[in-house]
Amino acid sequence: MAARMGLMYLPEETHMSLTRRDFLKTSIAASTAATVGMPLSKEALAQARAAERDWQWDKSVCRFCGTGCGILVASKDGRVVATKGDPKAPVNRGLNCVKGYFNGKIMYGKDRLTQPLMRMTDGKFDKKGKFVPVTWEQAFDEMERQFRRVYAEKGPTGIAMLASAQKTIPEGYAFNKLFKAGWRSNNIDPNARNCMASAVAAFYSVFGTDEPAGNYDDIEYTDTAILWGANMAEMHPILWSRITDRRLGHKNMRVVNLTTYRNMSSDIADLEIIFKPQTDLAIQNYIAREIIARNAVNWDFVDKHCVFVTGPYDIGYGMRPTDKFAFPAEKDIQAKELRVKLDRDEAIAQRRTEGEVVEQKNTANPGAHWLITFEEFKRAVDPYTLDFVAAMSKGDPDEPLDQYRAKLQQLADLYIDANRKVVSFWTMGFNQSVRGTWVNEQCYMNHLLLGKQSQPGNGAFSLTGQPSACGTAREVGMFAHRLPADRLLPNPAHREYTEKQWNLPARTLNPHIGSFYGKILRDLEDGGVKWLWVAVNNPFQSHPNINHWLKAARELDNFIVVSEAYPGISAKVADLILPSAMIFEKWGAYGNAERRTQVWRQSVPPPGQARGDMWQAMEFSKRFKIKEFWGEQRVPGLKVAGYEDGKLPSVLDEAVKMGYSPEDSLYKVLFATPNNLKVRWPDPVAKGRDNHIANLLGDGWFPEKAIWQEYVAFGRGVGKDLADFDVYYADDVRGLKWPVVNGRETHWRFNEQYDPYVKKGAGFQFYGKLFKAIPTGDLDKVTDPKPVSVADKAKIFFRPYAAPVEQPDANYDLWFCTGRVLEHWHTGTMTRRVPELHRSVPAAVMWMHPDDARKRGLKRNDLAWLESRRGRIQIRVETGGRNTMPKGMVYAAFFDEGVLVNKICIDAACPISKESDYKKSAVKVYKV
Amino acid sequence: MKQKLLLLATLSTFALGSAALGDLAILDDSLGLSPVSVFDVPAPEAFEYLDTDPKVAGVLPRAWEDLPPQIPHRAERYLPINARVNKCLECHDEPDKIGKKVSGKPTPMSEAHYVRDGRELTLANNKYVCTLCHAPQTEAAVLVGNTFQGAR
Repeated sequence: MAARMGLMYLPEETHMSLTRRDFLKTSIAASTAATVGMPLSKEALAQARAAERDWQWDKSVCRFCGTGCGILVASKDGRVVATKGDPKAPVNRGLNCVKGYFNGKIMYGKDRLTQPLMRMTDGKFDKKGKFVPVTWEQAFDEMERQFRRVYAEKGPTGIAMLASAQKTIPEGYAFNKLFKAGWRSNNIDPNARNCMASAVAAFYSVFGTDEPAGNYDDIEYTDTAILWGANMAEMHPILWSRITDRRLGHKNMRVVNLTTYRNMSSDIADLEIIFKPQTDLAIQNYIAREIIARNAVNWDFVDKHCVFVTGPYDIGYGMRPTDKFAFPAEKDIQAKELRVKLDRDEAIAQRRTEGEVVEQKNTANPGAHWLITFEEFKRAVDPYTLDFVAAMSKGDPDEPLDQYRAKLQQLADLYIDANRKVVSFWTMGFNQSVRGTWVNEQCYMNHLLLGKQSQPGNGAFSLTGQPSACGTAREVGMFAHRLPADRLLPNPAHREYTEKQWNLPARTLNPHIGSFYGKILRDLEDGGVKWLWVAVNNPFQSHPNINHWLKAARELDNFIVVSEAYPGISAKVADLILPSAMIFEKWGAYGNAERRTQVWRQSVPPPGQARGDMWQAMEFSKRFKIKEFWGEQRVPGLKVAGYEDGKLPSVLDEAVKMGYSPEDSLYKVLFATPNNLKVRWPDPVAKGRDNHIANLLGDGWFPEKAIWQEYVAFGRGVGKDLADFDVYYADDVRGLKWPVVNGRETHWRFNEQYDPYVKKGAGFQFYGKLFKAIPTGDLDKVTDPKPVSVADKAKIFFRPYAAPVEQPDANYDLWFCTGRVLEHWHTGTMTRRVPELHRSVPAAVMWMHPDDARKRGLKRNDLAWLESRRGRIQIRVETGGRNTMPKGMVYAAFFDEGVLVNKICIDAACPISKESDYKKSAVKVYKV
Repeated sequence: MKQKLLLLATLSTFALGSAALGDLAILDDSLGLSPVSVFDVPAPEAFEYLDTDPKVAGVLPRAWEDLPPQIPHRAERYLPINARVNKCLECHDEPDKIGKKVSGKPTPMSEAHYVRDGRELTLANNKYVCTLCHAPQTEAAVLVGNTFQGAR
């Protein structure tokens, strides 16, 4: 019997519920009627190992979540034959989660797309036609024809791309450049908008630079892990295995799970706090109040490295400002975009009067903020007493208030204990909220007040959802407002720098921020966007309130291209489907949540006519000349110093002076530049692996490497340093955490001991450059608009509690929350084609409290209608299993295209980050 | 329609003009894992986890050697696993029997789950939550099939 050393400190009587002997008596294993189940014999095993001798092994990265586990991919005869966790990968140390183990099967679903499909009737494109296989040439011909039609009619704002944090870094860079430099359109935004945008907005506002200070080793250094709306046991299982390891093996380790319903992360937690949706805003302020009341502010740290700030409260809810497109049932909630009546809790939390009607007058600049004094800050958090916060935030109606109060106190104790290191982890519970940016800022607030930030085992750690949200979306700046390495389109110096790097004439880049992800879909609905390219994401399943977008896609005069590996919902509503190569069929790089950049080679060729997205971008760009875009262009709404209103200037004369010909193709100017053509394929770094994109482009360059080397220049010297391409491909490298300076990675940012960017003697230096000159004011307003420098400081924000825009009422009487399950990735297009994963969770179910079910005449497995103001779906009821819902709330995951839960969800968003709130819709449930 | 898709996959390596493929036109509704219109609201099937007895039904096949086995029996009676109770270990924690699977007996956890301390094997704490890697299976039909072929 193995000793469970790690559990020895736990009370003996609770160590096991049954003794081993008792258990065996009753267990099925006690039977001796054994007949089957023999594993491989020794000979068979030896045979299998011998068969592996001619396998080709490649280091690679898991295709799924933001953890970024290293894997090894085995291939033979052009097919992947196995994958396994990479024992040398520091992230996962050989382990994978249940879906990570199946990376090897995701490419082999039987309905893999291998040929472009276009809607046609009688051999011609027809929006109402059926899908017919076409050649790439035919596909691009129509795509080009439609592009030209829309660009001529609407200019750069009429086209758009819904991009992805699952693209590789070079793919993201290439598409970003094609849109912004080539087509002069900023309408490119990734699904990371719905995943990480609130985290990004807070990194910018608090630190002036994106991405976490810490790394995963914080788990082994800390003695307190506090989860805020992060069900890590299901969503970041390998990080959870590390937390479990720490929890079971270290007697002082404590784990807290703050959540709106009981989930798998509660099973290992010492303290579970079930709070009411969105009251995390109030709980954070209660902790801040306690820190001050207990005289626990780390003044040495705060005085040297922090300032206090606040911003406007009445910032709207990220909905449309008009009800023109709203379904009749949506209009009451939509009206709150303009004005809301404060409820009692908001009134107390914002030092206002209950019932006051408040105009949402700060929607234009919701992220504005200004300096306040500590005294003002203290006055702001003063209403957040234990009594107030406990009463308004308790999420389980059946939990006694005294017990819940005690839990909040324990939470404050854990944060404040001077002998305790604390890491706060969060993901979508924070980020996907109409106040997502605020609650991110609040988490830093408490870590900064305590001085528990940017040290091993101490820090607020924003986890990412997708495999390259950090690498591809954030670092590359593939957003409607961003450029590579923390640069922003509205900033003239950043545009100028980028134009120089890209060898563009001055003022080629469009200074007008493009449409964010959700707005691109709204633009499709109101006719603003008429040509849409979707790649590596599935918006017509994954974006909230899809009844609007499905209708817009199919019933309006627009052209939708979807690059996909499988026919998901977005492909079904497309006009043209382009078959894409999947991860191990191309070269690539991903950046994970701890700033670790990891790479892989092409292990196997893509099937049939499937081709990498990078090739799709570059090959399509060959069809266009700079003269078609670099002349004067209309951009409605553009109003920027140095530009005529509503217009982008012609830069063609300047281009000619720079040596370009107006006839030059975008391919030549943006991608196959003289410098890039010098990076030749084949290259020894390939170690004999192929590159279908280099082969297809056919002009002898190595696009992934050339693009990489072009890209890394943006981050060098500004704290975002990436190493050269070949460094990451070295056999002994398992990714490197940026900034990589003089060949060394950085483990903790902003800390002199670890970060080469911190000045000697500074101790800590929050050197991010964005939003570091701000006005001064009081809790309500700016009193002195003159910008004051807060260089090298982190900002401690006061942000108040605000009520969710939609809440249960007499008609829609339940909260609805959506998210993922452990066994499936996002919309299930890959994992549901792996039989083992499909069979483990074959359909989305609705978790519900048994009493809530009973009240509606429902029981487990019954079919129910789930209905909101936006639509209704049918779903099976689950009253047991891994989640335990408090009364008044239901949960269903969004992976199942047969159960489209996003027909239910509200598309309200954080007005600062524009990230959708998937966690708080009001619904009703009734028997079918 | 799935047959047509299969055919497509087969034909895809050939350069075919659209004219020759006119009869292969695919209705969008028929695509994907839920072959109905995106505007429809289908009723999902209920599902149950396999209530088989692995003593009789055996263990489930693995796609390749290093894959964690799927759980070949209902698991909910052994869940949840918490810091104090892990009922899976009651049957599968058999460090003396690693690699010595006996037909009809629970499969002993592999050596990868343990750390060696001298002569004694101790369960590695990072492998404690079994369901992170092992999942039970339902009887649900496969949606589209998978052409993966392992070495065996």
